[in-house]
Amino acid sequence: MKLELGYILIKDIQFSNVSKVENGTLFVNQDEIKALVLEDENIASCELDLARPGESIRITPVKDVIEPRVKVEGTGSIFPGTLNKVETVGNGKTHVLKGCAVVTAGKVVGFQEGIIDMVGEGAKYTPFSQLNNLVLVMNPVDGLKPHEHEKSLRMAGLKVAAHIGELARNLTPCETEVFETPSISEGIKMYPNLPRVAYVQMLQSQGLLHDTYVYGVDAKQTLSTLIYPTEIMDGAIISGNCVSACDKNTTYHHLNNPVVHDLFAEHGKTLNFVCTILTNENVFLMDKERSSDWSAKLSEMLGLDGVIISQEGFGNPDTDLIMNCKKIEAKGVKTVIITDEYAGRDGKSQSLADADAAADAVVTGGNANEVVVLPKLDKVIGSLDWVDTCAGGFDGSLAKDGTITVEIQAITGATNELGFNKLSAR
Amino acid sequence: MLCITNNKLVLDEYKNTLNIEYYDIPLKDILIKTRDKIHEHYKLLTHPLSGSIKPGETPYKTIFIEKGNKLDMDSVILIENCINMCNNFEIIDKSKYLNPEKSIQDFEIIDLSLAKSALSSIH
Repeated sequence: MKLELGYILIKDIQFSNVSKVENGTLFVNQDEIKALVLEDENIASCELDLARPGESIRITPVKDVIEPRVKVEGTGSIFPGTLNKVETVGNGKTHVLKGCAVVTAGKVVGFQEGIIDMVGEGAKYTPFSQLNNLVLVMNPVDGLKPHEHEKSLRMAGLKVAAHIGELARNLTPCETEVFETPSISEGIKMYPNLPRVAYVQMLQSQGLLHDTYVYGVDAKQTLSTLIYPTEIMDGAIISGNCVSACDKNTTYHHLNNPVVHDLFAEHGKTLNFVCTILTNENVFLMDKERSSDWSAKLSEMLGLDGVIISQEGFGNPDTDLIMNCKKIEAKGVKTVIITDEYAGRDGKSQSLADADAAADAVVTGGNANEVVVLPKLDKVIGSLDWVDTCAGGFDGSLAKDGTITVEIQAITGATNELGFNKLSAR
Repeated sequence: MLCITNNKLVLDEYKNTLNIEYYDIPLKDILIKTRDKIHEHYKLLTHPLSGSIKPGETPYKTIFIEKGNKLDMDSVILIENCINMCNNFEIIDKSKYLNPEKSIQDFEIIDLSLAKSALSSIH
């Protein structure tokens, strides 16, 4: 399967009477976007705002971040099975508005987290401070249940991102990149001497506010399965996860999964990138056993030499991570795991809720308990109501002078377990 | 199967259909209660740190266990690791929530949803 991504570079975002992309600026018609969002009768009101890199703006609580894309050639449409028909994607051509994002914000529940600072200390911890963001702050109708509220926000974000993505349909990309996965038999013939490597991607799937959808299917109801990595670039996986800001994978992360991109970069050179194996992170321990058994079985069937396993979230998924690692290693397949750590504020405690001697190659996204002080910023999009009670916040987090002292787990994407973050030991 | 919880909502929802032990104690103590049960040969059915809401954040925890006939070492190791993890988080006093009723209720709902998600797999 072969996909060409065409990047249209966005350097600025502005409101305008007509939605369009011109000379690297994304112009957005507010009324058009609001009308689109308010088609959903569960949403009572919607405010739009813009947040550009370097502006003194704090966005919180953030639910999802989505990159606008449009399929211009090939089968299916962007976000198949959720927003559009379920037809298979991942082939043909897709245009990407690179440098901008749709950010959905607003409280789903009373304790929600997720900070994006566009400037200052906090901006260093989130990749989304570097984007031109269209922020949707949506308020639900009275009495809406949390699961319905979450769905409305999720769908609104996808709808707006797809709508903006359409603006790129007839544009000429500034740059293009081609990604191709041969069939299993072709791959063996093409690269007989290269190690066969797959990517095992674990998807958050625990329940309300902790869900991920694959072609519209709730991941908690799936068995471990195979997917072409390019399908993920066309929105086959979308986030319904509202919690654990630092290490949740937003839809933007899925679309731009750095493990997929880096494996493609080495494909045919140092390794043969065979495919992606999707697996879940359920609450029930027998589900964990079953899903990790299947990941290991698929690794064996594919004749892999190695896998990279990435995690999403904290605590419960540590067990899935370790089960996947030790069962795949037991099949004779080498593993590298990507996680993050909750090692206490001094970084001295045990980092994960599970461990095994087989996990001897580990990449960390950083210690989520690390404390930072965020300066007062001029403008807040959303609300600061929750700051004392969010994950990583504590009594007195929000000081009288407007500064916020929090653990970095409150910052969207800070310790991302796909490696899409800025923390480094270098 | 036995359900150990400090969440009233879970108690109300399942008191007529499930075997429940409800305790009005903090989250970490629910984990310790569960550990004690494991040493009475119960086995964990659900992960003690279900949900990505941190131990220092939500006050609620619901765990499902099942009686066996010997000590389940996997359960012993997992529960001990989870109790240790709790020490890495600053525990927030319930009374400090800005909108206590709303937040507390939301935490109850999330915990109930995680319990439901597990039960749908168990059944």
